[in-house]
Amino acid sequence: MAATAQTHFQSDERPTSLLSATTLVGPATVFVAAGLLVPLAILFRYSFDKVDARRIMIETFSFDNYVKFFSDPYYTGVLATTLRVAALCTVVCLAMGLPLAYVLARTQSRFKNVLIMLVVLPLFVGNAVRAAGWMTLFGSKGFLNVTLIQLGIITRPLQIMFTEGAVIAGIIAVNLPYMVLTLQSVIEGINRNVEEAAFSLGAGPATMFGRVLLPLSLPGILAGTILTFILGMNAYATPVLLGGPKFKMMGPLVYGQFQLNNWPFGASVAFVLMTATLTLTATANILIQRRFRR
Amino acid sequence: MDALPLVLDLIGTFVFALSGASAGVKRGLDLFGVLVLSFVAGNFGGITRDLMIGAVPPAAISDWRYLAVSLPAGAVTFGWFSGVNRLQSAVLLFDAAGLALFAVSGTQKALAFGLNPAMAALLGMLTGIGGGLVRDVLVTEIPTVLRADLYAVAALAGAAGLPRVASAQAKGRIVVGTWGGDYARLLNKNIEAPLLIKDGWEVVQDQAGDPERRSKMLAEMRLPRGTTDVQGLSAINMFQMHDAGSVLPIDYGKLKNAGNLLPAMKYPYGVGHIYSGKVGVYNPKIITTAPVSYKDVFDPKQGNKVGIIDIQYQYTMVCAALAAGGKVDDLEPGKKLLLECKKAGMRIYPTNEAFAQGLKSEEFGLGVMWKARVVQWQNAGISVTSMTPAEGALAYVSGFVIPKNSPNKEGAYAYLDAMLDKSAQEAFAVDMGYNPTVSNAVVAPDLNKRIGFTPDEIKKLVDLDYNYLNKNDVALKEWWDKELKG
Repeated sequence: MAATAQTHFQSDERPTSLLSATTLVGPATVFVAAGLLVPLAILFRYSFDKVDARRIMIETFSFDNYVKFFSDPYYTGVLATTLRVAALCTVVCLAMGLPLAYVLARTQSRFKNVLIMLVVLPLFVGNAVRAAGWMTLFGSKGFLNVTLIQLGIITRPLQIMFTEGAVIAGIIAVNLPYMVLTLQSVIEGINRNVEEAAFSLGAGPATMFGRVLLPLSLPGILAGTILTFILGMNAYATPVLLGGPKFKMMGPLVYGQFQLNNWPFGASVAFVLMTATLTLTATANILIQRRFRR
Repeated sequence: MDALPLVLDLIGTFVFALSGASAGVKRGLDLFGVLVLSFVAGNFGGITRDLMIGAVPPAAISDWRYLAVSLPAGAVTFGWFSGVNRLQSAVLLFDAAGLALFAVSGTQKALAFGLNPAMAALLGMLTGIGGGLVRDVLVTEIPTVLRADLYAVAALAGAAGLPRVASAQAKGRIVVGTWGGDYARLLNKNIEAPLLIKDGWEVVQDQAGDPERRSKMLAEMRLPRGTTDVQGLSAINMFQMHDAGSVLPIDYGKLKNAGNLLPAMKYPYGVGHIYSGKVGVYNPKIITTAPVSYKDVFDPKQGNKVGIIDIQYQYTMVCAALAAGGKVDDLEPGKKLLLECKKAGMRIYPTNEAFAQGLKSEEFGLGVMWKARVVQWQNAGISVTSMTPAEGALAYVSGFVIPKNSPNKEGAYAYLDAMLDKSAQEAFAVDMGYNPTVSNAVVAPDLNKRIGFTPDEIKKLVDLDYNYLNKNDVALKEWWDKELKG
């Protein structure tokens, strides 16, 4: 009996399941390989080439582009700015998003769906359009400055546009919904009873948060943090539109190099950005998981 | 045959060869039999087609690559049947892909040999299903195509789509690389619709920024057939593409309107379409003493009343160089002057539009801009006056080049001729505020006063040193980004 089942299993069932698995996974794999991995590999190869005004680039193999990036304080400065802005935005998003997500997850209100829609709503508007909104708010004749001048609080318009502050505000606004949605879905999965158990055993709200809610929602916090950090590192429209010509982050830098037809350097900047992002998120992931495993 | 159809054809051959070999192995044939079946399944459709249209000897026999692709497929299947068989659904997927590829490439070849579209589609179908047909006959099965009727229908449908595409091309399609927005719209309104489409040309615009289009031209250079017939570029970028060897030398004998073209707009590698000059702009309310030269504009004493535009870095640097007594191929004095201006509070705006916004809100009141654009701003109610600088205004010329591998060179020349037509040139002056590049275009006197230049000013127009700028572009931009903006 067992033997028959075994034969049956081998001759028929296993190939079928493998076949259907191939069929299901195949298209996505081909798509990712052809659309992402192959171009990435090509781009990586470009990053070792040499720029040439006439032929875009000359094929060689040198680390000159990477050396140029790391030996020039201008470019390392751009990387530092990007890291600073992305980190700051992530921290603020977490601080602002956690309470909001908690309320959204625990509310019994009839309007819960409406509230969630309100969080999602900004995502319906493109980044560039949102930046345009900030511009009318921050400009030297924008809403904020005009109001303050009319109220007599300031006499000359504040320079808000084209500063790092404007960019940070813009990116936070873009990223916050992602953080809130991620956290909310995870907190919703935590049984309310464990919180009440903590309270019934005499824990204050702070202790409950620190010892129950925080460790349990850690996967969500991690996912949300990584998501917003990556989005912040790769921001393009917001820094260009709100940061102005003098403010540089990595995304616009990469674009600028390709616009100049300097593909090799653009490619190496892109890989520096990617490596920095991946390294930091992976390290954070490992450190936090190790710390809370106990 | 172009590279892409050949590659598609070879992939199709490989996939069909796999299917042929699988059928052979299932029937217990020996290695030789399997190899024969793989070759037959992969190539017989094509061979039949080639015989029918008289393309002898058939490609599958005269070109070694078809054999080189078919035999390994047979050998792999024979040696590792279980593996290939396990991938059967993947092979089925590729079979469908191979069918599509064959149907299309078969039709294309039949069309190229002058068959009418309906028969070409049938031959395309035959190319797709022929190999499988013979394969099944050899292993004594009723051919799949005759049982599963959808297979042939699919091949026919795939093949039938092509003649329509191809025949549209035969009438004459011109693909125009251009910036999007107003320029593209006006090209259509003033050149394409009234002068080309009416005459039966099909005109397609490939809209993108010029850096993207230039990259594309360079990347396509090695292909025998490019994707565009004319490309709209500024004079410096026309030179860059010429320097890279990617554009056709213009044969002015082929242009009816060449006789009217201003001599300065006759580049050996491209044709000027419109031109304007970099003039000084100022708001009289803020700048009370009217500036008369670039030197008056790039004056550190003006402090934060001066604005420049980030994307105009090349022209701005040359203007500043002229202001500081440098030359078009010696920008060092200009760099020094710009740094002094920056220290004094000069503002940098990211785009032309942001610059206009700043002028409008009176954040600053002095700068340099194309005269044509100033006219547009005045029309929009911005309080701004232009002046032609004493050093001579820098000329801005925008024109078209023909890529060397343009698929339709006749169409490209037709486009250039239409663009130089009197009516089209006059309409561009009215709609865009740029000056005509042909001598027979008539611009109304009051319009000419606002957009044009006096004969004396025209004589003094300064052309950029394209070679110098092209060679130093990356270095200049780096200086601009790091030293001036940093």
